[in-house]
Amino acid sequence: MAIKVGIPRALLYYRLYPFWKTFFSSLGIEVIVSGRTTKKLLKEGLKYAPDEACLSIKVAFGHVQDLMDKVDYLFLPRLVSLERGTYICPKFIGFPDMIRSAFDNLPLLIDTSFNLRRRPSNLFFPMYRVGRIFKRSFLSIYGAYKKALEEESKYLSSLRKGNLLPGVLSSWEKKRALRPSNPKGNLCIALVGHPYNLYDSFVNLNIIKKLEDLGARVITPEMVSPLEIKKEADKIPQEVYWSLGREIVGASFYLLESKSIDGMIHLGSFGCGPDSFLRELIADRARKHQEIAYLSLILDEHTGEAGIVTRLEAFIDLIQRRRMLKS
Amino acid sequence: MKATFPHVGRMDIFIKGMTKALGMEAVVPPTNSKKALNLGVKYAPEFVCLPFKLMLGNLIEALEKGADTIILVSDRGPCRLGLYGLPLQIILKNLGYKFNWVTLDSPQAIKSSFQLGMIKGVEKYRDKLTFMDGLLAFHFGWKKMLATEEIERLSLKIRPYEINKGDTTKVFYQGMRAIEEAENLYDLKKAKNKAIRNLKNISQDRSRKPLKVAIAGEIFVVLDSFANLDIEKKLGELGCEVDRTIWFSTHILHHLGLDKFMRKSKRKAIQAARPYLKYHVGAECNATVGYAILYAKEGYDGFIHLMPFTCMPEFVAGGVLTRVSKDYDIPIFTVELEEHSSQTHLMTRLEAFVELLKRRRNQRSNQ
Repeated sequence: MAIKVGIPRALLYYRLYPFWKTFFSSLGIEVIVSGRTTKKLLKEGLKYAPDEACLSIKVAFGHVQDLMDKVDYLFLPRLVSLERGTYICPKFIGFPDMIRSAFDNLPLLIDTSFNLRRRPSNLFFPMYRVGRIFKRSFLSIYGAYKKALEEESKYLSSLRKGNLLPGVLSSWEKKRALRPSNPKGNLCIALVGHPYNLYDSFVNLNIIKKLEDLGARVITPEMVSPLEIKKEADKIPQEVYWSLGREIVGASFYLLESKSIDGMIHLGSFGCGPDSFLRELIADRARKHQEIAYLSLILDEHTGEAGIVTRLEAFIDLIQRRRMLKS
Repeated sequence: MKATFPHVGRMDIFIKGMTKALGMEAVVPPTNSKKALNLGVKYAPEFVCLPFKLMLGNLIEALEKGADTIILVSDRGPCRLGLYGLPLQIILKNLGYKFNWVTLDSPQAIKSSFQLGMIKGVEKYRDKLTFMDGLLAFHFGWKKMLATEEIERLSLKIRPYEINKGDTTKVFYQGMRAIEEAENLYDLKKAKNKAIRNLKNISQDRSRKPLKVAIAGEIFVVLDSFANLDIEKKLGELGCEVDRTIWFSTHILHHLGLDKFMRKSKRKAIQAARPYLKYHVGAECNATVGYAILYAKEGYDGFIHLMPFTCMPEFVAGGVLTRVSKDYDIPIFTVELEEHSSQTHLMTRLEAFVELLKRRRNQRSNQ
């Protein structure tokens, strides 16, 4: 029987899943992903998560609870930093420790540290440490690592071509050709925020679908090339040292400056530390671009569907009216 | 140049002492108050932590008083503190203030800001002052702060024994004011000794057996008695001998790497937390967990964990502390502080907590 490794469908799953999945399956390990976020799953998470947690951490606790009895190993890498000179968020650094403190009878935890802050090239070392748990042969681990990198770069380049992440991820998973989405709308809306808010359709109440139904084409930070992000982020007088935050700020500044969008929506989760500052920075820049409409939404576990729909409709109406007035 | 800085605990005593010795001018914002907090809350982002809001309030008040240069001592992640500069500048500029901004977050920044003439005002003094003057001024400021901390530490020890409630607090503030006003080292020593004598002369009931409680958590709220709603005084008057884990001086010494031989240093706390936190999360997170373990081993009755609402590193510590509390059998009380925290609310919770500690102690002595 193959060893089962569980990956929670939360936090950086949306970005790194193809990499991890390819690595594990090349080593002959079965990967099990927790189910999609549901009300029940979130409720289970709330039982274990500390009260003051941000929404994303609460959701992640729910996913861990979902995997508990199904797997032999739980893969919760300690993501300190994935780029030179940056961090992810302090909560990511302590996440495995919090899980260990909150749950009893956990499956074996793989909490290898990924710290590429000083030396961005040594991604292989932590991956080797993960591989060693299952396989002794250096070559097979190295092979799996190389294959994983290849898959990841394919995945990222597909995202950069302007495809939305959920579609790309499911087509990657099912090894199917990507069905190009062709929304009918003529509006272009940038949706910025942390990936675990943008793509978890329960958490954000399916906002991408709702926007597309209202006749908008959605652009996310993943579609902006890293070079442009770096260029914009370097202009900020102080370095934004959260790599996700840097990406969000860089991408939204680029999109605002490029004037290719009609509106921008920032999605933040309740209690998120980085979001509280990112909102301020983005809103300040958006104020300087009066022709681009800007909306900031905060998500929490009580978010009512009707509230979001009303605000989105009003937002789209506003943009449509502006257009009419212009022409 | 009129420089200003936001308050962090009693850092103003240090800076005032230093600038006084140098004959320079610094605009010290009024001490943290409801007014500063309201100003901060009005203009700050919604979910930002309490220290940010208070600092913003301080800076607005200082700019109103005529300051033109803001100096912010900061760090480089992963906590939000390192990025305070960006939103603060944006908010203050949008409010229409004009100022020079200096962030001191690394030795390089300090050097380059000196070179860029940030401390332009210093040039005026440069010919008159020597390096030795600077060193002496630093020494004077440092001594002043140490003296304040010493009498504060003593007041924490004496408060649970006082017969007339409030005596200790009154005497402590008198002593602190005298220390603040001291002009030279001789005055300072006299003021300190007098304060210590006065504190020891407070009428006390030595037959009491106070509960022992330790306080740890995020540095700003632990140091600032306005932000933590005077929790030490409240605990003392409820009959607890409080030990505070973080002082401004120990924090500086830790960052200079000089706390190797100190008892219960932050370094030792971080080591003690290793079984629970395998990685250094940043800020005071590991130290908080470590202190809980150290104090539990020492036989303390309770542990209080202070954190601002939405603080990221302390949130991780809070998650881990639930397990520490079980493993070491020590009650841990986490207080989240935000702009809506009220005195009475905290008092009720503290009374309940102290009651719980008393009951535990009685049960133990009966066994």
